[in-house]
Amino acid sequence: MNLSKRIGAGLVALALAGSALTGATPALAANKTDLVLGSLLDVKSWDPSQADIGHMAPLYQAVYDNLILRTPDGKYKPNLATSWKLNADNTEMTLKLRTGVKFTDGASFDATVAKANLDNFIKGNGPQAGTMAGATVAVVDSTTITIKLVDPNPELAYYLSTTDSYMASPKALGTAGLKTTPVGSGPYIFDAAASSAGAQEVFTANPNYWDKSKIKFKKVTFKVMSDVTARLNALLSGQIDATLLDTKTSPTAKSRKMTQYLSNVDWQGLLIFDRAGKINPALKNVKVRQAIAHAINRPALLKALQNGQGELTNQVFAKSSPAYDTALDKRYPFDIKKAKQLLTEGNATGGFDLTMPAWPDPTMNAVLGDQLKAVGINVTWVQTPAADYRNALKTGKYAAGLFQLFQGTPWVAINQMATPNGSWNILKSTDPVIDKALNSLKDNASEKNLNAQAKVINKFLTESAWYIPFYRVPQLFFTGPRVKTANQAQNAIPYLYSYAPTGK
Amino acid sequence: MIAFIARRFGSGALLLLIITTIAYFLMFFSATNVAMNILGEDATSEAILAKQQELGLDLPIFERYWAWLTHAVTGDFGISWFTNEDIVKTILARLPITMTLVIGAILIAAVLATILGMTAAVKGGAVDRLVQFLAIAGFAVPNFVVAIFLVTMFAINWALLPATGWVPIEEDPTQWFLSLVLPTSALVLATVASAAQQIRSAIKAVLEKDWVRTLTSRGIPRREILFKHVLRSAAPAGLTVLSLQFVGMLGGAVIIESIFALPGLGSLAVESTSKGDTPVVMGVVVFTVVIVILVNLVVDLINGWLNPKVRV
Repeated sequence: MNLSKRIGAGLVALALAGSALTGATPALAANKTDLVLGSLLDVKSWDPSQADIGHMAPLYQAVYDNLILRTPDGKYKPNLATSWKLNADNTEMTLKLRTGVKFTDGASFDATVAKANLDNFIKGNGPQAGTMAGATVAVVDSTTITIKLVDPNPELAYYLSTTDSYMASPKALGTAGLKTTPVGSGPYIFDAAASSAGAQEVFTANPNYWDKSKIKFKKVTFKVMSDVTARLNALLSGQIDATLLDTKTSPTAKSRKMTQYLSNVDWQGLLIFDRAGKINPALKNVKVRQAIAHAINRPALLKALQNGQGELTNQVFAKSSPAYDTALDKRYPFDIKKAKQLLTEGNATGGFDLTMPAWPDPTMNAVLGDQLKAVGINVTWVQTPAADYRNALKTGKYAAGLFQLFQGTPWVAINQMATPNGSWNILKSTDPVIDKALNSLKDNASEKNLNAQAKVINKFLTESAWYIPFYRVPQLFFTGPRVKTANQAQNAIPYLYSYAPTGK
Repeated sequence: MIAFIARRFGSGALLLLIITTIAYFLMFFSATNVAMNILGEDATSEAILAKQQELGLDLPIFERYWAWLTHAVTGDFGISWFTNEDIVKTILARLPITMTLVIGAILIAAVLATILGMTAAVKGGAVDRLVQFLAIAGFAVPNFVVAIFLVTMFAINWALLPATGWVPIEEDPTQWFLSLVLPTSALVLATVASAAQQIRSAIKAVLEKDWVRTLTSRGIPRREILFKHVLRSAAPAGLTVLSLQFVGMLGGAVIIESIFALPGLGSLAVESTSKGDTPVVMGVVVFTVVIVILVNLVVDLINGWLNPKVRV
């Protein structure tokens, strides 16, 4: 065979191989009746007591029903509980339960099963167990239960619509098998054979589900993809229908006509833990903390770290929160002169030294370090493994640290940041203003008073610079052309119920 | 030969014990707060304490290590602290993905590197310089850059191949093959570059030997000299570099696994280490060390077969 014949044969072979591969393309995309989601995380355990919010929510929602359903705009709807009522002092909730609901293993749902599940959650020592710590559950009759709380909680419905009330089959509850094989009454049934922990979780539609309107796909697959480039590529090539991207990958997705769902679930900024000045005496003075807030050039940080996407803010409550105050978002304009003046007034003339764990993104450390140095605050960054960063902050040895915090409902946010035992009030700061607001809530935790006290607390946290937010982080969720969804209030990604085919 | 194999197994077992012991104590000294990682940022200190007790993290380190070792020698690696999955089952589910990727890449790299190395050594001149240039270029470009380029072109722009994921062969052999093309190609490039250089040098050195000239002067065909004698003599050098590349790939595959969302052993190792999931990390360490020991043994056996002097 001469050279030209050889080249010709090679080209034909290549063309054939190419056409064969092209022919395989349709099989790469999911069927219209399938929903394939690119998930950042997999669940740690299918035992509902170990459930968590955020990225894990849609996974649990596939197989488990909550007592209460939360709509994308944050409203509550009946689910396995048809009605519920919280008593006047927010310490006891009575729930009427749905009848005729069966788990996928044939067991029936009733008050005894609901109690067993709630008890399992309360005693299960899971990530959210603290939200109902010490609560007791009583069966009133076969369709009624009461939950009695140790402390008032005006937002118990929120917790019952998220992690606290996933209902597992009584046959599976308490068994070791439940950790790896969930059995619920939810819209989908776990496909153990097709699933592989840490790789993908597969569910098929529950043919006997009590609310057919929640089943919009025959099959739901969660593909675990920790790498954002992998998620982008999978979305663009049609392998997955929806996923979370970031500010670096979102322009590509937008340019390829993917649909963006923008929300601002978290805020990012500086958390000043040492308001008593035990670790760093300078921070005891509120003027010093306010000086830091003025020294920060938020637009520059937003540009450097989030490609300019996101919302600048000075307060920790979300725009959608009743505690939100527009004026507070302009409380600390970038003003070096003012910052230096406040440092002088706060007995820290010329600045001071501040030690913090190094944030996993070195750009943040470099930019923020320079900004603080401009007013005389010298930051020493302690190198900390990314996986250990949160734990390092929680040790209580740092006076301050960078973090990204969830903008929860007023009650969630207050318990996270303001109460003496708040999960991010690490050095357990107290203040008469906070104490008064919390005491007011103990006496009257009505929604109206909760919103009013949340406003008071928001103003205090901002004015006292307990927390110095920089911006609300853009949460950039994307869907492909064949699926639509809706942002979920106070959750990192949409709930599973929000997905529907576009009909394309 | 049996004594040789027995000696290698004995030293391998000792090596396994030393490495796993070091790994266990490294995990302990670099330990993060595992209980907090499991329970999340809002967990109470009581809950964290209870979880630590549940996992046995309140026991002295030597007691924990002894418990792990005595179970491990019976093949019981326990369950993951984070997923509750049986560790052997988890590793066996992920091992075929990494091994298919790495073995596939090493076989392709071996063939390509041999062709390139031999062509460069035999032809010399411009061809040699071209092969060397390509080898250096291939070595200089990181495999993740190659991976992203391949995905953009072949998966997104031309939609010829899947961008991510893994399809088991028993589920769909065609999709299994297609899912391997891009990640394997990304892994092959740097390996070929490195191995081709080594093979070229080895063949060049053999070609300068007197016995090659003798064979040529006897009128033995050039092709027979190259493939029957020269290649055999140069093979140990190539095999050694390929075995080292294989070991390197086991660790380096993690980047490719991440970009292509392949649930392999590399990604499991990284995820488990960052979370502090000691039982899983130890399981991965044991399996990886055993694989490396076996690969080295096989390479030694092949070298011994090619060159009987090595067996002594």
